Amino acid sequence: MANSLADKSFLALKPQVAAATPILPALFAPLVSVNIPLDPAFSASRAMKGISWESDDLLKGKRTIKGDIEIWADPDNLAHLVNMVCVKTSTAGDAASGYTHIFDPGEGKSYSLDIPRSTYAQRLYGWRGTKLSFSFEDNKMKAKITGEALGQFYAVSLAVALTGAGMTSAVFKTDYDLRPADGLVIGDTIIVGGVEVILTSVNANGTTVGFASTAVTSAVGDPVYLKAQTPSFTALQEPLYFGNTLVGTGADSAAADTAAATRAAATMCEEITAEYDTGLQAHPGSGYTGPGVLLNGVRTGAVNLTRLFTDPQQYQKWIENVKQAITIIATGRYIKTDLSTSEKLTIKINKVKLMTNDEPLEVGQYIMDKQAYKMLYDPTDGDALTITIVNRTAGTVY
Amino acid sequence: MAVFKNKTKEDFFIPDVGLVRAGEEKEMPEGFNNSNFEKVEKTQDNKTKK
Repeated sequence: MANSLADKSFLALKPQVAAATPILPALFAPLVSVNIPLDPAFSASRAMKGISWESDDLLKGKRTIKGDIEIWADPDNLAHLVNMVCVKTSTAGDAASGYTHIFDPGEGKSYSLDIPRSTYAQRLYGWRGTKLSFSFEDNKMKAKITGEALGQFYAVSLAVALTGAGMTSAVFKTDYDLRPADGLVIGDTIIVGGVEVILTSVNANGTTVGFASTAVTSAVGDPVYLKAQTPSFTALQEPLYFGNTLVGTGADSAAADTAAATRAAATMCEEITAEYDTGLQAHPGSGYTGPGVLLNGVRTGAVNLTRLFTDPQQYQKWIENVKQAITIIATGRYIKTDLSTSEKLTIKINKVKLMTNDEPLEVGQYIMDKQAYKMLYDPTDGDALTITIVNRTAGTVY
Repeated sequence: MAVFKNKTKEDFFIPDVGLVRAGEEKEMPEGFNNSNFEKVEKTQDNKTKK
């Protein structure tokens, strides 16, 4: 068998209309890394059976499918990750000037994802993000989403033999799940008996799929795979850069916005990371081996800044528990030909307070303020966080 | 090899193929599988397309 280099993989994704209803993910994004393993939660079957060995079998527990996706944060694909943890409240603009998408804390969209491995694909559906993190690596912004899926289709086996000409359906074994076909959709290509067939139906019973009359010979127990798609990328943009990112801090969000507007007024930072967590909860549900539903929990967030120490003002704000606001603006490439509009990510945090403000002294080193802020809800503004993205992608995509 | 048409209004970059403009028909490598494209039934005209 051929070995496969991970670099030939990519991420296929698309927001679903309903959380439990998969959709063919026909949008494609470059990946830095992805690891979303399925855990069947196998454990030794413990029962007294007249043997002195721990067990003679494994039994399934409560299944989970969760993990991380990392991308270089280009404004178009970054918006999908934001869309997984926030609700898009509006889109304005056009292709010539760029589209401005505003995201607020709320119900993020559920996504279908394909993660190809060689010519095979792992299809996840009902994927929801819980934690979105921003960081910079060698000047480039990296975005990481941690999340969980309701289910997947990857590899199953045939329950009923296919016997040659005129085959129009395949039935899958239920050893993995009583509904092994969940995750497949009409239009998917599966490989059965070494033959590719395009699905024309996915039966509501969760075990049977239909396709146009095809000659297939395959025995009970033969593997069935989802075929990986061929990616089709729209014009990919560069990631946002640390060098084009300004951090504004102030007594309130208006002051932070003003400070973030110019390099002269912004706070020069050596390191910036931020994360937002929806507190996603996986609720068990009768009829589901995995979670029955994924629901937002209590939202939290954090910002970490490292900046050159100039005076103990931030220390004072820390010990006196003073409210501050932070606005982070990362500007990308110009969109409009007259250079009047640009790609842009704006993270507006209405209220933060310092959890820690360390000023360590190390021989030969400049003194730094190493700051860990907690994002808080601001009763004055009635808001905690707004993420605005200007990019080249129409709002209908999100 | 088979001919596929980009059925969307987007231009796409396909690995090992290159740029395929919206509505364009192009010969794709064996195993091409992308729902943004539809297979074009072979006619004499298609057979002569590059």
